[in-house]
Amino acid sequence: MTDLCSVVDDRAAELALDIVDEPERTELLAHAESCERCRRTLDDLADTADRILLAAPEVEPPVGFESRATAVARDVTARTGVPAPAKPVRRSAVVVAIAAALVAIIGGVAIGGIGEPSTPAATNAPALGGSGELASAAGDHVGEAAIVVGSEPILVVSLDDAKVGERYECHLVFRDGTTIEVGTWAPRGPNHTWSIPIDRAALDAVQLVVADADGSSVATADLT
Amino acid sequence: MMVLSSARADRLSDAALLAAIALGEPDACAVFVRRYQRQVYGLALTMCSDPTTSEDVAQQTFERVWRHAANFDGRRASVRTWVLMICRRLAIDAVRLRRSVPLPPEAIDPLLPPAADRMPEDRATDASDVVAVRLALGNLSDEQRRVVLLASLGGHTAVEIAEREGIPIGTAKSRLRLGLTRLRAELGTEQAAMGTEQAAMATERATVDTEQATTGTERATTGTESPDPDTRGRP
Repeated sequence: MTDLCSVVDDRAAELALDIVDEPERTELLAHAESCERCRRTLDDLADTADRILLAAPEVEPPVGFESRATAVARDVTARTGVPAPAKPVRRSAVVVAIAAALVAIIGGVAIGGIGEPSTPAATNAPALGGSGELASAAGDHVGEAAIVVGSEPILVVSLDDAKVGERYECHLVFRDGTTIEVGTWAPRGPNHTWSIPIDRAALDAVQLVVADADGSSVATADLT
Repeated sequence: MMVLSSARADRLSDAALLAAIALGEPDACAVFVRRYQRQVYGLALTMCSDPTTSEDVAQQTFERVWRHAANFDGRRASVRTWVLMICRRLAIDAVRLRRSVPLPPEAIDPLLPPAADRMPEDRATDASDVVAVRLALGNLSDEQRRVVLLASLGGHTAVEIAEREGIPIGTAKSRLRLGLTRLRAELGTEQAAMGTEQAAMATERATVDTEQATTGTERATTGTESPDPDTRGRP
């Protein structure tokens, strides 16, 4: 425990509430960044401090606010451009959105911050991999699947009308017909989305099969 | 740009909606504003008092969201918390820039009516979260609650709080520390009382509506805090 640890202890509440003036704030936060003990202390309190903001009452903004705020979004997009998916193929919106969220999350790990628009990480930049629509045996659309390729690939699966209480097994199928089971999933509600880390070797899979607890196929998706 | 209908965007989780915004989906922006505008404007108005300033702050908040949507880190904050932290920082800056008085002490009491009275207005938030926070604040001593709210919603430093409250700075710091620590304990108790099912749902909301699992054994993922360094510098 260092002298700075003592200062962080003393000022933890103020740091968590973000009311410490510079340059002390930066100095203490930089210390906490490299000190697990202090980081944990601050994280515990900061979570509570953040939730206090919920105490503020909701108030209807002035008429026209929504359209003005949305118009700003168009301006921002026009000025800054839109980050495009790494693989611009047709994808289902929901799974793309969720997978993109994971890309952002994983990217955050690599990039390490939120303050400014990120630049692509030099290596291991996450990207959207294979994806496809889940279809029933009858060919009906029943969900989506996508793979996020980062330092640890993640399979994202969304099954419409998933049955609560049911357990679904997910299998990846390779070009040579071999399969691997990647996990079992117990939905908490319809349209529930599930993700699971997969082995990098599984990136070569060409198809996802979702089966029920009896092993009967519920849906398949070609991953392209 | 992907095509995302407004109806589908409406059904997206907050984090997925943010991801859609990052991909440049205009309908997602509109849905996001509808989902959060009352809460954002309410926080801005609470902190700034002035409607014009508050609208500016609320609008800037959404502009920051559009700019940084791709960088949101769902491991460290819920979307709601992230947005409110951005709003808070902008409100503090706006108030200081205009040299107006941030959250005068007499403005604190109206923030804490009986929690149930606020329920119908809390459309954008999970009511149980709001009630839990207000109940927990209500369980602090008056002195602790005042300094915690002056710091959180007022953005006052410990020195400023000491001056405003007419107390020694050591007392202000002590009240802040004890107040926040007790609040954490209260909210922790409340969380436990939510029961397994609700707690699981809360965890899920805080995630990107996803869960990671290993074969046969589920484990939660991605679901905690994420401050914008622009709005908070904690690690």
